[in-house]
Amino acid sequence: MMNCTQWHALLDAHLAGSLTPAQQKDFEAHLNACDDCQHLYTVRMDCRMLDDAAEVPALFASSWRQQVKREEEIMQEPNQLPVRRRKFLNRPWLRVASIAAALLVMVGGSLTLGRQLGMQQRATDASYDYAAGYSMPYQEWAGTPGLNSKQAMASAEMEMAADRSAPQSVAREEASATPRAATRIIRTASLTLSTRSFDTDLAALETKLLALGGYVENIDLSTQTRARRNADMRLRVPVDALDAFLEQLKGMGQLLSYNESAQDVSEQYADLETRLKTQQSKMQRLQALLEKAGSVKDLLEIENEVANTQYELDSLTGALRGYDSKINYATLWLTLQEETVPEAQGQPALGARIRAALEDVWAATKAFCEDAAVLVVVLLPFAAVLALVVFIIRIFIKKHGRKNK
Amino acid sequence: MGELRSSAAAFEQLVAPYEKQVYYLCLRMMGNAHDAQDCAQDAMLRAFRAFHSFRGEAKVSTWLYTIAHRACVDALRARKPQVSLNTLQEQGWDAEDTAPTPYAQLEQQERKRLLEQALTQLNEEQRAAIVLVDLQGLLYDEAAQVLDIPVGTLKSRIARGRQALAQLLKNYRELFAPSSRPNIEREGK
Repeated sequence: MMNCTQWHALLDAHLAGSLTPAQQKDFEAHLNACDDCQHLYTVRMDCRMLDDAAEVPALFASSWRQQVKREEEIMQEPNQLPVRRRKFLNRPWLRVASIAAALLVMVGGSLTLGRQLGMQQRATDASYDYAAGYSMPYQEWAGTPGLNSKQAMASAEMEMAADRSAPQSVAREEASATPRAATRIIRTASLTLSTRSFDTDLAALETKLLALGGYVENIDLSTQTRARRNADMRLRVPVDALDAFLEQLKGMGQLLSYNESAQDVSEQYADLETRLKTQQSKMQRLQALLEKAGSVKDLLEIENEVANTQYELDSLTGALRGYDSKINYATLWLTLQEETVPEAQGQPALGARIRAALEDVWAATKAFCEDAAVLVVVLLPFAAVLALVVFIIRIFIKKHGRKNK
Repeated sequence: MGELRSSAAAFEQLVAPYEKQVYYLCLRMMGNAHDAQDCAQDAMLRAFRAFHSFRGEAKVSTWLYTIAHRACVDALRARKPQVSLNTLQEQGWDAEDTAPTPYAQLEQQERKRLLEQALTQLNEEQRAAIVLVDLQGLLYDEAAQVLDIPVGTLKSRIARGRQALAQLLKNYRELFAPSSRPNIEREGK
């Protein structure tokens, strides 16, 4: 006679029908004799039948198909940048180049900053192009590689830095991965333009916007240092016209920054719609009930419920309208900056430009080192205090430790 | 990219026969319909994202099970602290259904309910093993592949899981007694 452990060992073979007749006999003998094993056996057989007759819920069957389709739409705008980038970073020489580029950007950045703060007197405007990340033309932001000949000079690295490591490139990926045709998407874009003809451009911009059916939601005009004017606008553009409008803006001035995002609210929207439908049918039922209501108490109760449902209905409708407005009209944050016309008109010679640029870099490096030196000196007293505190604490701990021993 | 264009259709065709299994794996792992639906949907989406790298070295079912199981484990890990209200409701906390039911049907339903409930009491690892092998009828090596564990480990999980299930249902032994059931028939596998 077999014991329970031996019986367990044979269970799977039994289920698969691969026991020898003798084993099968022993197996059944134990099964009939042992209550515990019998119970386990029944539970095991029940397990097999648990989901046999069950059906797939219709909601699941339809929703995963929908989701897969939506996912495909998103994938359809092929986006191979991430893959290329990984390969890119794997090559050692490119890594070195990236670091060099980052350093250049640092120096260039502090240089530009220094100039903007008016700390350095600029003799020529030659090194303006140095800040390549600043004056990138629109085509490059939009993804078509095409290098401005002015910038082709100084820095392949510079370009790489701006192109690969700048956060804007991420935004660009997002923008290009956005399905244009997908439903229930809220689009938001922000861009900064720099222009020499501020007034004409501002007026032209508004005309174009109105022609496309958009409107200005908010505008904020201000004058900055050196009499530069600035217009911060929040525009609402019909979503179908957004791309056309952006296209038109291209010709207007130099694009300083651009960012676009798309938020998929299909699920929230569908959810709201379902809730709305539920509330509507509830309302209908309540109204039918209201007609039948016998006592005053019933009447009051139902009316109370009607009021609640109405409130719910209103808030749901409101939320849906809010979404509709956001979906149908993309929000565009536009900053229009007036550009000061540089005094030097003609392009100086290459040698002069290089010299000027080198001078700038030298000045920036010097300024950087000086700043670092200042920082060290400024921090010295604090370091001294800190050292003193640490010293006292250590003495305290030592004494304390000795006492404890 | 033409291939990509039709990939949702291709994916659907490939996967549709297994949607039931995916759903029920999630249902048994998560213990309630709402979470199961979310999880199964997540699994399908994950599968679709990985579809381009599916070369057919594994069976479609095994591949899908693996993804679905991972989705379940992730979801369980995420919800760990709280018990879903749905779970409570589906475990019998909601109002009793008082509609008259023929006794046999009632008994069958009750047994099903108890078994479902007992399954949710098992630990994650044993539950996954039991669901794959005893409920869905996977072979040992397939299930081991899905769970990414050696067959030996799987076997011991199943043995322990079965005993735990029997233990959990000990108090309802009469309900599960063979006399109340059709003849013990052998199962072709």
